[in-house]
Amino acid sequence: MLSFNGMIESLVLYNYIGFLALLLALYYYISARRTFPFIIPFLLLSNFVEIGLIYYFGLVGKNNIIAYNYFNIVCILYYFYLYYKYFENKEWSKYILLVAFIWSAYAAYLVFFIDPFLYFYNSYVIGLIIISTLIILFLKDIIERKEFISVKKIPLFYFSMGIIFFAFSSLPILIFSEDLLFGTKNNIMNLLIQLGNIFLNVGYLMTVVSAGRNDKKI
Amino acid sequence: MECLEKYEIIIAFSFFLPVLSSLGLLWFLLLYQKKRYQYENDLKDAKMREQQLVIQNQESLENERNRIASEMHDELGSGLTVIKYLSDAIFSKTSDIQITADVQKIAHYSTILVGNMSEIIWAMNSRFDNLEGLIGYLRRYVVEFLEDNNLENSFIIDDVESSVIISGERRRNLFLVIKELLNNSVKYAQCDAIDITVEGKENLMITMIERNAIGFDPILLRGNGNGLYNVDKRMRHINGTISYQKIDNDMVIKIYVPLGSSST
Repeated sequence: MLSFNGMIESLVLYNYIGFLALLLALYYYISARRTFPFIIPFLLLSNFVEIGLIYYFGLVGKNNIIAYNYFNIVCILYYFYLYYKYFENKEWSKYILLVAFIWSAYAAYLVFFIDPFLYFYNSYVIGLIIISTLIILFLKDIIERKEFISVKKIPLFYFSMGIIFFAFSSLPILIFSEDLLFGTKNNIMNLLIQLGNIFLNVGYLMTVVSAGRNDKKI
Repeated sequence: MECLEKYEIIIAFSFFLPVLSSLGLLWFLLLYQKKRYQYENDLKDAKMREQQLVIQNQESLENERNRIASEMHDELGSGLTVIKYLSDAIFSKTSDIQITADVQKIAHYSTILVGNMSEIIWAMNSRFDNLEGLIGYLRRYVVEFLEDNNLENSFIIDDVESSVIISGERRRNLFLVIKELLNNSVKYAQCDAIDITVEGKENLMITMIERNAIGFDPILLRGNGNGLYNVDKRMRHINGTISYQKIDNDMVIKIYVPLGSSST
């Protein structure tokens, strides 16, 4: 039986942070302030999957992995889009598109042709590693660019910090997920994954705040 | 046993990666701070260079003003003085009434021109771009003008910061305001004496009192002539104010001019 109270009880801290980020993004949008590119659809989808869909699947006793598999593809592709937009003027930016295409083809192949109910950590981990590389390039660009722009005024900086902290705190768990899932340390894995997600959602929240307060788009 | 080793690797890895990322971020922050410091220094340098350019421009402008003032004084001033003396010479030699009248006119206009040109030269010369320059010139003019018109006068300088900078344009406008007011006093006020007090530290305050004057209502007079209209216009131009008040038998005129760095 679906109930609102049941859903609230199942929420964890990062869900609240993500939801707050969505509300704030909507508020900024309604107040005609600048919002981060596609952040509202992204947060809507993220909240729908993380809160609504996962709770529903858990409640009806169905496998929620399929929702995660699809969402992870959208998530990584959105990250690719943001860094492509940032590096758009660079000569090598077209390779970001190429890598994004190859990665999405690989991820889609796993989901559509192997087994959609099997969680594919590999594609997600590879995607996160590529995005982390782009983040390192982004930080390098901030340091090396001619003009100085305070990172406080770059919403993508907060976004990147959220992803990088999430990636580095969750990657070991994701890489060794098989052992952890079938081992006895399942609680530790959940705890660390939740910690990573807190970083990620705080990153989203800060991005929304920063975009709303500054005039820089990305 | 093997399973335990795997967990140890995972835990070590879980610890190592965040530490590595934190060190990376720390490195980024250090480089970022360095860039920020460099940027702020560059900004300061650019501002300094800009200020130097402004000073250089001002200096070249002042030099140009001084050059023009000096050439006007040397070339035009001496020429006008020669015209005046030649007119006087013709005037003493001729007995023709028509020629005498014309020559007198030439001499008269030459004298006026010399006076006006002297005012312009004074306003242009950056050497007088301070309160001392303004008050000194005003004092000389007021005393000479009122004595020529047989009016008792006093000119009191009270608490003046003489080094305060005041531009040539403001000096000239203020001088022309005082000149117009004095002209009006002599023509219409029917007063016994004129007392002027000048105070100027942060703001310039000139108080002009026409003793036993008939007085006037500035609102009624404004539509009648150009004099008060020009006075108001000049005061607005230099961000100053002027007020007129009849107190007993005296007419009190107060001129206020702010002397902040932005208003000079």
